[in-house]
Amino acid sequence: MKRIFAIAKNTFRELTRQKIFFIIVLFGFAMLFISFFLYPLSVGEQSKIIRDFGLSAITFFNTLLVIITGSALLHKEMDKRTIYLVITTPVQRREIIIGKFLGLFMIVIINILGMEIFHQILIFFTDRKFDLSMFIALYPYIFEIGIIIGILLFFSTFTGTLFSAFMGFAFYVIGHLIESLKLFAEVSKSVFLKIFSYCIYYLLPNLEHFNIKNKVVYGEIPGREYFIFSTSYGLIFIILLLYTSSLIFEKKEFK
Amino acid sequence: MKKFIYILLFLLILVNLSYRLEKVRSIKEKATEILYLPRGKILKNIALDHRNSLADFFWLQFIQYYGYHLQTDRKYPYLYPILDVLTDLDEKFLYAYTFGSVLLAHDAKDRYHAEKLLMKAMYNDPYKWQYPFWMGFLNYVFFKDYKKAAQFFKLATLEPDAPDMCYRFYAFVYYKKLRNLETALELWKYMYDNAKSEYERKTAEWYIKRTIEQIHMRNLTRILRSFIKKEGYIPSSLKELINKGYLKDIPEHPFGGYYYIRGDSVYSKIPKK
Repeated sequence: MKRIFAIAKNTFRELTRQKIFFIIVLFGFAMLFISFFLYPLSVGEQSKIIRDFGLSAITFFNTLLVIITGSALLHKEMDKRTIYLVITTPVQRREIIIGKFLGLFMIVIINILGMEIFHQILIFFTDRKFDLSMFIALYPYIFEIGIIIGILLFFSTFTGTLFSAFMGFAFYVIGHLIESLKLFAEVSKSVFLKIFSYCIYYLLPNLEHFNIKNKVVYGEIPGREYFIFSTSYGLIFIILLLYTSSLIFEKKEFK
Repeated sequence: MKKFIYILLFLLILVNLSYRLEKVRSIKEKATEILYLPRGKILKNIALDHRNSLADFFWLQFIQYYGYHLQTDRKYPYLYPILDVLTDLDEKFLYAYTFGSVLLAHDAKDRYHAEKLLMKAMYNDPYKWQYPFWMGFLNYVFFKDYKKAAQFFKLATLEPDAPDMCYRFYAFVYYKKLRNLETALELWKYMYDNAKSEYERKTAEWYIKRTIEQIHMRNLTRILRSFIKKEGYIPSSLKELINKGYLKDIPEHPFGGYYYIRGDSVYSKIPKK
């Protein structure tokens, strides 16, 4: 456990030193700030716009941050050849995967919290009150981002940085469009296509399960059952991805 | 120093070019405004988990589109298409449905789409009393379809959180089934009190004044006719009604105009500014 935290801490520190990290975070904050100035144009819908744009800026820039930094997480170690140093120590390979995951995951959570606090200040300036339900809207997103990091790590174990980033982005898009596949399965007349579509639908991560932003903005907060199921779904998917990534990484030969 | 001058020079050229481009583009933009609007269902997929923000973007476009045409030709061919895409992206955008339907009915004089938009709202969000209420409102105030207005006011009362006002309007329209200026005035006052934007407030204010003007004209005509019946002649001015004790005073004209007698009726005149 200590070794995992040491790797996580190191990953965390390394990421904060990257310029790209600061650029994306800065853009995120800038987007949040710009949304504040849209309100004279919004004719009566200031509150809604500041909430929508704020949540979108937070999720969009953090997803971007994860895809860009997460795809190079393992490859950097390999390129710099520091991985050789690590694998000669008693550190197990799966500990590297979990440590890397936790390092990036922690930095994203801190970033989300920081951006949301800033978002709350903007909401306060518009409505003269805070809206803490925005934190609830972002809670499931944490699992979405965890799954994306898991996917990036999974592909990083056997492919290059660019391909991992591409796959991370592809899964993000597919994850939010996957519900159309269920519709396709429902209307499909071919039994084979129906079964195939349903299999893909249930096997691939359905990221729409973590998207409650559109409802929370209207004050519709899902019940306890939703949070139990979405948390379990997110955690199990993350564990599965980390487990399979570890299996592949353990068999990887470093030349 | 030399480098600083170079940078300044470049910046000046860029500002100049930007200004020129702005001028060239604005001519073109007016001609090619919204030539293509993608289908909402396609955009819904493209937007991924940012559907509400994209809907907000369309809302800003909608306001600009409306504002531009309000100040120019007062023609709004894309008002409904924008609202349709917007409400495809965000199915619960209450203000887009209500404000949009009023603009369609009042400014675009497009009853079909105003009603279509509110029907879509009722389909997407069936438990909101606001949509049938606004449908009743539009039918009562703009389309003068009192039967339909009564039906929708009744529908609004079925929602558990419907305010008393829905019951009042339903009862009034249902039992009287005729145009009543006092009801119209109350509806417009409700719209004024609940207006979220300056434009909406001003529109409501104008209709409130107009309804008051019509109420005054109706009441004064009633008094004038009773005067003619009793006295046997048409008075030369409204002051004569006051002198003979038929009227206490002439009501203040809401638009700053005046009332006058022509034949056996009272009319209103608003001085041109």
